[in-house]
Amino acid sequence: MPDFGIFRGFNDKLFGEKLYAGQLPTQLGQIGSLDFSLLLDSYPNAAVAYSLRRLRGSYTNSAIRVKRAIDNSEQDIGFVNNQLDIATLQSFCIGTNGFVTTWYDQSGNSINVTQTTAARQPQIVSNGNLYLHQSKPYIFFTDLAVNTLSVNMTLNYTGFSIFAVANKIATGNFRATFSRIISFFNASFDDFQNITTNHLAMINSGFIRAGIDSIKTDVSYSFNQYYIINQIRDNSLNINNVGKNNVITNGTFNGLLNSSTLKIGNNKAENDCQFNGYMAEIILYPSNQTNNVVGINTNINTNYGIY
Amino acid sequence: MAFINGYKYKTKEEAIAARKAAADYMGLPKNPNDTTIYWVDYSYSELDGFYYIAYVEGLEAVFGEPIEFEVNFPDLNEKP
Repeated sequence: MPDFGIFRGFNDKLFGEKLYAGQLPTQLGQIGSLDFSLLLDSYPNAAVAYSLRRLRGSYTNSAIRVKRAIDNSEQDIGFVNNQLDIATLQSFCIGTNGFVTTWYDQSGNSINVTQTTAARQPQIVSNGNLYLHQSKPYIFFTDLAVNTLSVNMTLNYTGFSIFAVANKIATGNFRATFSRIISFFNASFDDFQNITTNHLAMINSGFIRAGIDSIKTDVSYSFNQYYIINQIRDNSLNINNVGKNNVITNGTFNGLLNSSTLKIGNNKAENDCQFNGYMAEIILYPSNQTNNVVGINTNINTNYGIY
Repeated sequence: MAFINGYKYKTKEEAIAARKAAADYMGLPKNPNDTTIYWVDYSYSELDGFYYIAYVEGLEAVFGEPIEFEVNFPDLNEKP
């Protein structure tokens, strides 16, 4: 079999193997700690990144920390083959419930979101069983218990992009129709800037909204349906993608993302806007990722099988 | 306005003491490095001027049977 010379030197240098005609360099997508099948290796520089899969080849910490109901013990759960270590999680939570106390930030910035109050921790194991969709685990947030994960942090951006995988299962508790997947705010303002009535990665009853009211983009959606949700902003652009449907609205966004707290599953007040459903991944870039939307969504969809 | 099933407190100190009593009952935190510190936490109603803890299953073992009371929330600045 003749050498396939164009790849031979490259492959030999990287992996010490010869490559022949018809043979693809099997590790071409992985160089050092970079694995281009992992989202943040292909699309780096996220501000925060929470997921139940590994997002960077060089990320060596755990995915989540879980408390089991039977004795309130906690344990970090990591990855196997870049996916959540389900076997360890199920072994830890045999016959009991498991709750997420910490969702670790994989961006490299260590902005982990936590919940110190047991009654408000979102659930990942129910009587020993995981919440699964397409064989992938999800975290369940219930508005009845005001489930929230949060962290104090400083954000100050003029543009940003959010990518999330979520499913809202019902309209929820009394005022949870304005439910938040993710929100930012500071001491003075709810949600994140000095303009009232703004919305950040919000699932309302019947639509998903991004942007302040003056430039809002609403996209119809169905309950009990899994979506990849995108929100991208800079000074002139407001995009809201839902699944494979892209809706683009031009508008004006002059405010800064100026925040001191980040919350997942709720907004500042916490007596309304609770999210009620499932989440598996939330990534925030401190920049406009318009040019990467297709690639990032494809990466997410390849893992989660949303559309 | 909403009806809450739980426990009311006049002062923040009372609410903090109740939160600690519940955590102690549950043995929280179990280990120094654990994330979980409390079983339940209190909320404050600015419009009503009192603190409260919403009932969760098992909490009656610490505080007795819960009561139902009204809590008023600020209007949302949001449009459907």
